[in-house]
Amino acid sequence: MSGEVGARVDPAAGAVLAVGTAGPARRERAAASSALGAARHASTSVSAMTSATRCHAGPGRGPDPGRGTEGGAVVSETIACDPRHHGEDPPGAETLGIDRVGDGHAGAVEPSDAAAQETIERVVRAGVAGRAVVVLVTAVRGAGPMVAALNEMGAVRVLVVAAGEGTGPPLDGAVRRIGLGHRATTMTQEVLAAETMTDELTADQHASLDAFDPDRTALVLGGHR
Amino acid sequence: MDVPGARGPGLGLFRVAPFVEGVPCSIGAVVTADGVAVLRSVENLVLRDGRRFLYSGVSSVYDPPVGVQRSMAEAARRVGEELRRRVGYRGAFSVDGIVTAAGWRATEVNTRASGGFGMLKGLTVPVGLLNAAIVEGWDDGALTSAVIESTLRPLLEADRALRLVRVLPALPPGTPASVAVCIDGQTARVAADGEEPDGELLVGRAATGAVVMSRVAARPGAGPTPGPSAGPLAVALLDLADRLWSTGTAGLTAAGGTGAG
Repeated sequence: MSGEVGARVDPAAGAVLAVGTAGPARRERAAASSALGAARHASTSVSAMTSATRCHAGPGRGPDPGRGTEGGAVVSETIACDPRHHGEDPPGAETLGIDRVGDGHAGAVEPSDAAAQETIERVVRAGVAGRAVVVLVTAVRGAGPMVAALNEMGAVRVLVVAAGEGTGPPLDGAVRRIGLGHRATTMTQEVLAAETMTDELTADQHASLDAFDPDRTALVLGGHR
Repeated sequence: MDVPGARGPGLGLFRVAPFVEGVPCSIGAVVTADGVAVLRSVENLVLRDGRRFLYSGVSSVYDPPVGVQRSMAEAARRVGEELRRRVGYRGAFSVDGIVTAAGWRATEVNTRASGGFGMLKGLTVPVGLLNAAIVEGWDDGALTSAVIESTLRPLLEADRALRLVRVLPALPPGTPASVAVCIDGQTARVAADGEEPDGELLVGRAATGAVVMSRVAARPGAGPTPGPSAGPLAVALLDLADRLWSTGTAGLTAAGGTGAG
């Protein structure tokens, strides 16, 4: 992603742990990385999330895609435009030297495959049901839709680890919070903070995680690796 | 290297590259057990304040030239296959780049579900859980690349929207606040009483202090117009936020604008 120059310091940002529903813990604490999406409407989960697998209490199982591709998967190539494109000129097209753009709506948009959606939902529900889940996000309130979905799918309990409160509807139920002390003034810093969110937990924060997931079997979603 | 407030495995790694003029775009894809599902491209809204580049959200409004779209999809498929071959990768990733006058110029690969995946609307499960299912192997082969692509790509094609996210150091006086907005081409205004809005513009709290956010979606005959870059509309929304709440976000320029550089 593109960064910023000229960052300003935010003295108020802090991180929190938020505990959602209660219930017994079980299963292994393998970290599934995932995207919670970036900022949703009326929330401030402004950081995109991960796609790697790592145990939050130790080495990951299997290849770690995030690590495995660091510095090794950058693509640098130029592919010429197809002259058959069509549509209206974008603003600034002359400046860019882009003569035309495709309209993307020239043909009918194929509907999303309903049977495929059902397959996805069936697999996801089976994977979530009965799991304790730790959700790493930059803003507690940005995790609201994910927490609701996890509860609806049968997760036994959900722990939200976040760098701040954010904007939007508060999470349902009682929420317990512990500051992690992260600071971010730009999107780039926020991504970096998300990458290392759980790297430097205090003893109290470790205790909170262990109390939530004593047998270390929780599914972990989010973070950047 | 000592960078205040910064930490992480990437600290100390620098990449120096020539500036390439164009529209920042990204294409998402998912590596499954049997192949690579490729989504449609999204525009990374990187606005400019002189020589500063300000990340300001994502949009699925922009249509790159058809040939560029094809090139982006081919690049994503190749990268996905290479990720699988080299490191056994599974799950979402994206290829970022610039749509230039000379074609598609890829700049980086993000091995995560980056911002474009957050534009998905209509999926019956959170996309993060879908990604977890693939990464963790819950699917036992059921989530093929065809299943993923036939589900996600049409959802992105059908919902053409702009999601504005511009961080601020602190909440301006009189905020948090929000207004309903209407979009007229590349301009934004507060919706009149009783007028159906195209979305909402708000200032709220964030880990960075505060954030200006908006999501406006294309509707038949209303909202953002699919085709052109949504950069100018993002600029207009931030100008409107500044007029309403003194957010200090006025006067930015979109990619290729006369104020750049």
